[in-house]
Amino acid sequence: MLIADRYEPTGASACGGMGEVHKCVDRHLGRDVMLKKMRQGKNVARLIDEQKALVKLRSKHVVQLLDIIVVDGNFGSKDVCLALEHIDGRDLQEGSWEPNEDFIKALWQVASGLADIHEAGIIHRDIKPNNMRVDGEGVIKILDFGLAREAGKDDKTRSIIGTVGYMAPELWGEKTISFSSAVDAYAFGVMALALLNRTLPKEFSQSPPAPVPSSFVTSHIPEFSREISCVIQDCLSHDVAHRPSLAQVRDILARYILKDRHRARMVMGSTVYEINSGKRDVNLKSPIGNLHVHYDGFSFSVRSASGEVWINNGTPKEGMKMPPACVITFGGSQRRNRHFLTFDVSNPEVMA
Amino acid sequence: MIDPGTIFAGRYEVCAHIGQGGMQDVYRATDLRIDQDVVLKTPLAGQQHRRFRASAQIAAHVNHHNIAKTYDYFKEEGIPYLIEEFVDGETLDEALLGKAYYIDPHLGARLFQYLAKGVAASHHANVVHRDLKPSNIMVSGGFNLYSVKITDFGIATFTEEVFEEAANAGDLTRSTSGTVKGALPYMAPEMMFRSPGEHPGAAIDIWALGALMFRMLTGEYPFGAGFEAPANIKLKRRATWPAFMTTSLQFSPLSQPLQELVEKCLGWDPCDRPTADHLVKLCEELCYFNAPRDVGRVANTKYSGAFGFIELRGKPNVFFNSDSVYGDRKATNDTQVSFSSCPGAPQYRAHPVIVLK
Repeated sequence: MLIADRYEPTGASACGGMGEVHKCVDRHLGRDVMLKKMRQGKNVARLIDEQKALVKLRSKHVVQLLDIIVVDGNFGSKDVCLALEHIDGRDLQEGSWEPNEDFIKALWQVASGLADIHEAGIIHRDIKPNNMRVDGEGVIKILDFGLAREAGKDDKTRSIIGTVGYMAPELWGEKTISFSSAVDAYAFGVMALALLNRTLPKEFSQSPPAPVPSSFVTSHIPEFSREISCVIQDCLSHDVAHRPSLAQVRDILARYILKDRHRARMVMGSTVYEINSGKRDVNLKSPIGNLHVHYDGFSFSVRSASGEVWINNGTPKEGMKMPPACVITFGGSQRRNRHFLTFDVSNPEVMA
Repeated sequence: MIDPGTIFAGRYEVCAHIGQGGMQDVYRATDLRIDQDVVLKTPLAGQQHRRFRASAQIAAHVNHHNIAKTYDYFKEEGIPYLIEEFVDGETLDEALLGKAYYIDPHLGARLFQYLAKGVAASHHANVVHRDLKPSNIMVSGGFNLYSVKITDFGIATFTEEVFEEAANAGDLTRSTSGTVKGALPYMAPEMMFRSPGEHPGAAIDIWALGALMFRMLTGEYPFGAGFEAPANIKLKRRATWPAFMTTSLQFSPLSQPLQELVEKCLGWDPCDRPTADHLVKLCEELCYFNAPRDVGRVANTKYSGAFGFIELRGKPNVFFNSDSVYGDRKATNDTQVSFSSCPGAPQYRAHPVIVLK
């Protein structure tokens, strides 16, 4: 039997947050696609709008919508089905990661995808490891968009509006509340911990979750650098306003992926100085001025400056960050023998 | 020519004719069902289309953000149509070499990384493109490279057929086919001088990437255009790297590893070339400067062009030093340039700068 003259069911099916999911072969192109039958109700139109907004977003971390079809349902009803690209890969697994560089890169990908989604004004509402799939190219895709928004009306609805353990505390309120993207930030924070091979304390699995001490992440994952621990801890905050945006999380993670991988080259005539993680300081001394530049693993900054020294024609101040491409000048314009050095920072690019 | 407004398969409305390849017409269309811009491709009238479907299916199995996605394939009134991801931009040829003489190594490193990733993804799916060239790569955002997508995987097996026929007819390098001629500057030796029945493998894409990057970084074809290429390749005579790439101490630390990478890709023996996966790893080690780029006009140069200013619409002027200008062309007054800039006083300072045509 062909659905919509195009999709041939393979027999594999499952139940996701959005509704039934059937793996089919797209006969036009001879490849697998996922058909998602959407739950009946007034949300269908809104969910379709949301899917179209996701299409416009074109994030590499979002599964591509390929088709929208209407099929005959039970008792003469019409069901709306979405055809989505089939991602051949494996879901992220709870308890399967070490807190190493690969893990930070995976988190960075998830945060990038969520930041993209939030930028389009969409809240996922069901962030958890088995809604994240790593494709054959190592790109993490976020799956299963479109949970109903009517949270907190009754417990029956509640059972399908999220996953216990990943639902932010504000979702457990008695009355209907409005969502913000901060629910995804909370779920991201829990996921960042749950993916690791360490047991989480019972506070996380309670309904609603109980707060953890402000030093929890640091003590639970001492391998994380302080800034990463802090941002994950902030994601877990029970105070919605205190949670960071996923764009902030993404940028902090990206900073750590590039830690100690920058290089700065300073060239004067045919003399080259390089600053990198193996040699973090350059101290330029001359009778007319001194400049000490230091690399802390993230950026290059002025440790001290004195005399007639300019950076891109501006006066260097202690602690000032070096522009990533600039010229350092020794000697004022009244002098004949001024010296110019170019200063260029480069680094590998973080790409999913 | 299909009239704008024509609707295919009940969902694809043609908006405009946007191009013509050697074998197909290309239109921009709207997928009315999911409200997105797409590309509609159909074989040129008179072109054989017996393998159009097979090609579409092959392309549909590659899924990567540096490759234009295949969405649909269907026939109407006996004519096949292919629906593909639309990139709001230009071909790599138009976007970069149509505007600049060559690109600086920072931009080159990023382009190389994107293309290597796309090619690696297709090779993982056992798909060899066979016809990688700047006109088969779509770029949006101009020098900012917002997205880079390899396209026309669907046509690869067609091209293969044309090559095969040309090879069978005698010498592929003497073919009169426009498709063959356009592919020659990027064609690997084992493809060019193959005997009938030989089917060179994935390493031909690596060669093509090397040749393409050589052209982007230098503005020159490594072995000449059109039918010059086979002659030069036979003599193993590659164009030399221009001195400007490595004379500047500011650009040489990146130019050198880029040249080494390109040379590896252009290994005479396919076994000497890196695999696409290895190439991705090597690209990931490149250190470069990636900042947004603007286009402006040079004005008010001083001391015979030692430094000057770049005017750009709606923004304050930017200072530049001639050392930051990549290549052998001077940024004289009224020249258009593409550049990145960093904070400075009183003006921002541009680096790197490339001269536009």
